[in-house]
Amino acid sequence: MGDLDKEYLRVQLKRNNSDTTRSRDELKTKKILIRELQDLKESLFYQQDNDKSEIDIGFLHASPIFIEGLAEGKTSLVALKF
Amino acid sequence: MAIIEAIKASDQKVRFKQSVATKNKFIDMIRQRPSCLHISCHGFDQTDTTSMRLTREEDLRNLLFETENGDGRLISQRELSKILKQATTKIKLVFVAACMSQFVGEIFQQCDVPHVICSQQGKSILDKAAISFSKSFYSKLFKGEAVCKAFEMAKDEVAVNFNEEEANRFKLMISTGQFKHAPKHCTTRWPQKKGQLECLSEHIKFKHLRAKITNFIAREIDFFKLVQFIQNE
Repeated sequence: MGDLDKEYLRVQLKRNNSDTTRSRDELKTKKILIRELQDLKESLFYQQDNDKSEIDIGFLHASPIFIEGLAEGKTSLVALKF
Repeated sequence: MAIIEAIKASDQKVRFKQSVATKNKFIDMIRQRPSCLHISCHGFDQTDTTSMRLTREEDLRNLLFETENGDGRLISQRELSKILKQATTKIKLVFVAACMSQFVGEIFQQCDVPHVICSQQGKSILDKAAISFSKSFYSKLFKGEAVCKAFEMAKDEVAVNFNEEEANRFKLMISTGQFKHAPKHCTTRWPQKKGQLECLSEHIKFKHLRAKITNFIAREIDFFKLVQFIQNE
């Protein structure tokens, strides 16, 4: 193999390596972009339909006097697991 | 209240409404299309203690709501499911602070709610642990942490303040229909809108009455009758 061929192969190899690195970088960038878009989509998720809602947070709390019928002795606490 | 403290500390603009958990109030609240719904009550699962031949399984799992008069009213799995399937809800996050509430989580999940926090199947949660969890969870959420991360951090807090077993009783259910990621990759966050807490709550009667019977959280009947008498006079 002559010097010219060797030089040609060296240049080709360098270019290939460069292409591989570039495609890896592109893939990485694409993945980052996809992730960022996904993040953006999810961060906007709570804002969807927000204009249609009357409240942001609903809080319901129960602390009743007695379980129905307990006062009349129709049921017992033992039967109910808290 | 943990949730109000967390909102105030974060300086977020949030429209907040609190109601007594009656069936009608629950339906009304669903209709107002909240982004987040928090339910705090007792929960029961009697599937392992009652004969399945006599009763349908979905009637043996209940949440204990109230009637308009302050009495107890059991809302069964079947009833909850029916209410939610009829509603066109856009709830994004539900927190059911009740014992044995996985069945509630499953109902909300079937209605495509992306994140539901409840207790593990058949497990009770301590009131104090639920308060500790709520404080931590909402404070992290309103400060901008992702839902899943806020959940994990709140669990860690319960593990430190109580124990690992208590912490593991809290469960996060993620609807895969919405997001196809593992919980550790969740980036769903509460929208950060600077402003103030806007309280749209109704006036709740008898909220601060203490329980008469230890180990049974309930409004004291004597106080209830006394206040009712004064109001009627």
